[in-house]
Amino acid sequence: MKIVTVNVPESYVDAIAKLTGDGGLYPSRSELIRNAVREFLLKELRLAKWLVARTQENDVEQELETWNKETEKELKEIDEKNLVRIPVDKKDENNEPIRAFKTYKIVRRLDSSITHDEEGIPGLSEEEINEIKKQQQALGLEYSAETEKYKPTSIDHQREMYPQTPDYKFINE
Amino acid sequence: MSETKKMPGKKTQMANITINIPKIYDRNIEKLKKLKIVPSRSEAVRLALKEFLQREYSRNLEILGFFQEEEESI
Repeated sequence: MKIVTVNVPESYVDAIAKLTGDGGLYPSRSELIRNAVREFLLKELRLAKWLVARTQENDVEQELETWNKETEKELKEIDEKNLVRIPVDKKDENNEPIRAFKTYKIVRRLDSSITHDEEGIPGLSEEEINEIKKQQQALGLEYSAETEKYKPTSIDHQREMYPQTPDYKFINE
Repeated sequence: MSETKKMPGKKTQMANITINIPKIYDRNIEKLKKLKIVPSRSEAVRLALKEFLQREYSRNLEILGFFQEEEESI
């Protein structure tokens, strides 16, 4: 062990005092600080090791090359069919409206048939689904062959059946 | 381990405390100093404490029900 003297804000000393002593989680202030220093060292050294290994392995040029390749790949992956341009309200310096667009990528098509899936509804936990099922049962709306009628078979069919439901969702805004 | 003096005239009141830490921790702090991750030993301990206390008070103690017990005992 080594004895060291350090300067710490008084608020820390008060906070530490609450965690030590009677009913505390640590036997002493030193023990708590040792614990804190240990966790800090492990985190920082792991990070430092990783950084050193990374800079030694890859030159800057190599890294740039891989970055270029990745962006190229990303650009290729963009499917024009999946992009939509939405007009936005924008005004120039003279406060006159100008034509501006924002481009969005369609990430997922909303499928209303998904609610009838046996596997479950995404975003809802099993308990919540069970709760919904209970409520449906109480109202006499049990799942039956009758509901099959309202289940669209394809996206085109779904659009036909529910023309007002949008079938796309944007990542941002 | 003892509190020795307070340093007045600063924005954050600092307390000078003495602690016992394993030699290997001290050596590792020196390493971090060489890598310029921390400027000094004091700063390393302050940073460590800051992160530790934040984690404890914002999350861990709540999970453990530390404050609940305190209320009950009162």
